[in-house]
Amino acid sequence: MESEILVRVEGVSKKFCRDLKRSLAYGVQDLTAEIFGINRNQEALRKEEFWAVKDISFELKRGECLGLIGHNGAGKSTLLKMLNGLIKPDQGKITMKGRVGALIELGAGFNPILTGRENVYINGQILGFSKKEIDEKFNSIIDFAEIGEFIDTPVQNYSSGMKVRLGFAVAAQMEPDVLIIDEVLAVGDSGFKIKSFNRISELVNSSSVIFVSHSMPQVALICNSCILLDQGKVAMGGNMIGDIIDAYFKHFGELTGNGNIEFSEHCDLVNIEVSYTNEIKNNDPFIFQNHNSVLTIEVQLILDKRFREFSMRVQITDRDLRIVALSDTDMSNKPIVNDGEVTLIRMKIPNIFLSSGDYSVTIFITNSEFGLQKYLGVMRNIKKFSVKNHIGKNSGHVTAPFYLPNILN
Amino acid sequence: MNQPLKETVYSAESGLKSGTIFKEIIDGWISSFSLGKQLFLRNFRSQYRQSFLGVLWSIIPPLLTAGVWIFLNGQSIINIEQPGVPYPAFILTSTMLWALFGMSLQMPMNALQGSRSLLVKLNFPRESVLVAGLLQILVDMGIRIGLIIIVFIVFQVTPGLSLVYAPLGLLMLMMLGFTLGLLITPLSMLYNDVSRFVGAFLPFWMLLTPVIYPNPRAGLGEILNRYNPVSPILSTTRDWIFDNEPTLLIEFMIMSALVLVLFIIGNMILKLSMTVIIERIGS
Repeated sequence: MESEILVRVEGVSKKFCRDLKRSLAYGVQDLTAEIFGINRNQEALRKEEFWAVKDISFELKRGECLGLIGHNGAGKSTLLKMLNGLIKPDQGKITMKGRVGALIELGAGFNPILTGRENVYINGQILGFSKKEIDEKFNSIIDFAEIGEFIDTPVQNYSSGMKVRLGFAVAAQMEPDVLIIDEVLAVGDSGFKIKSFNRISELVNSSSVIFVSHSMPQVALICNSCILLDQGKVAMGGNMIGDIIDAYFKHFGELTGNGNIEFSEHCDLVNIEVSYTNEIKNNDPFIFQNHNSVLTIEVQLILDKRFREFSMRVQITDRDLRIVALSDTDMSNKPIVNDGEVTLIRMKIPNIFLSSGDYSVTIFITNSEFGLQKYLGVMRNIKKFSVKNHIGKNSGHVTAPFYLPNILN
Repeated sequence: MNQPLKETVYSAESGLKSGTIFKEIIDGWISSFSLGKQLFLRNFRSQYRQSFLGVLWSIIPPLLTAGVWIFLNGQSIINIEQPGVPYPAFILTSTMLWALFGMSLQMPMNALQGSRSLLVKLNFPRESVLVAGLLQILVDMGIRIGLIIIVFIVFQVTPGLSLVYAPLGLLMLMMLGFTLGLLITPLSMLYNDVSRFVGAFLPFWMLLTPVIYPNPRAGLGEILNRYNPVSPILSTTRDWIFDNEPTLLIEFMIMSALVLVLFIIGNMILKLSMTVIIERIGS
């Protein structure tokens, strides 16, 4: 039962037309073909047409989550629309088993004049619940949305966050076999984001999920396979999610070589070195054996003289862009004094606690002299390094002291 | 959990080929009823919540329209053959019948066009939007019929036994409008010329139909009347209401049979065309 295939996509393609007038005319053509059951020549592109999605195939079992990534216009939404049955493929075949749910447009159909309560019922029924089901789930919807007494207020008086929370709360009650998620987790405050993310993780366990997102950390966390779409085609696919995400970023010229300087209005980075000291020598300066070695990050920079002091934050992220370490000079409560000359800052991590993998360093330079904290420079993924663990394969070994308090006392 | 899961297949083939189109149509209507009711209540409530006169807006326009014709007729500005019943009762009934046809005709395209943003994003039974529209028409008609009953009492019009057939006439009038509406909806979703044309043509069509005047018995009017699909159904229904001998009863029956056939075809066309339309009207 657990291994049944719920979604099967076989060689699916879809063409679109660039020109509206022509597109409508093709629409009439297709309408006629559809109504009279004529088979149109689906192989050929008509004038001004292009393949928005070309020859996509995959299978999903229950409990699996497929990430669909790609830059805007890569064909993700078109593919989702076909999976959702809104539009038909021009080629190929999609087979879905069970109840299909879509977390696409949160709060779709909300009427601003009606109260939250009334809208919950309408929205719920649009998503396929019966009135009775909504009656049963009503309280958990309200709890989840954290709407409280506002439930009987017209939705036009809600903040945008409240609307989205209510919309998600209704949709989150679905118990589908196949779930389609399109970029809905980027909403709400951070607390709600975590809550909705947890709910989706729950849903992933019990269904097959197709997850579209531009947030790579989320994709890395939730998906067990991934497809990178480029101009409608599969550029890369499989379960090496880290590699696929890398490819996605390479597409933007990010994370290549030594990263990029996102913003540096008032400061110049002179040099950045990442090094380590260890009794075991290694020829490759960017590969560290993480047993008892000390990781050193050295930053040399020149800052505009106007700023007499600054702070630096160093952030280490793994290849899925999760932050694994963060250190801030502000922690010492003493800003760094700036004299307009090259400042050298050295940061040391006593023993590398990181598990094997590729990492990158991001540096933020901030100044708080004039009240608000202001970013002077952001150097994202400016340096990459790898860590190899020669003890365990995937564990991060930490040389940490142990205490046995009961015995000591 | 142990029962096999429902399998859905999407492919490039025409929906006709799957052979399940009639089942899909019937399932669509059945599964749409509850949501349709809810959508109707949504529209109904939001429509009147921001209004002072509320439901009265269902009778103000027809009263004004009737008032215009009563005035024109009373002043002899236009010369209308006397229908044999008090003219206010006649004109209110006739315009109600025409409105039932006109609203049913425009409803499918207006309703689907109005829910466009939902239709292109979510997959829910599309017929529910139509159910909501039909309910709206029924409520509007109910209010108007109430108004007509009052006018009948005031002018002491007593309908006869044939009134029992009137609901059938009303149903056929609604079916005729709705069916024609279904047939033009796919094209109207792609090109707004269709709805513009219908909007421009309807008032003209009303004047060609014996709405403000009784059935013409001779001349060009009589010939046009014979080929006007609305005339036999509208005038027969009106004859039943006023207890007159229906003059176009045979035409009524032929049209009704035709409407039933076209109704099924209209349903099929809408079902088949939805994905094509959504593809072209995008997000």
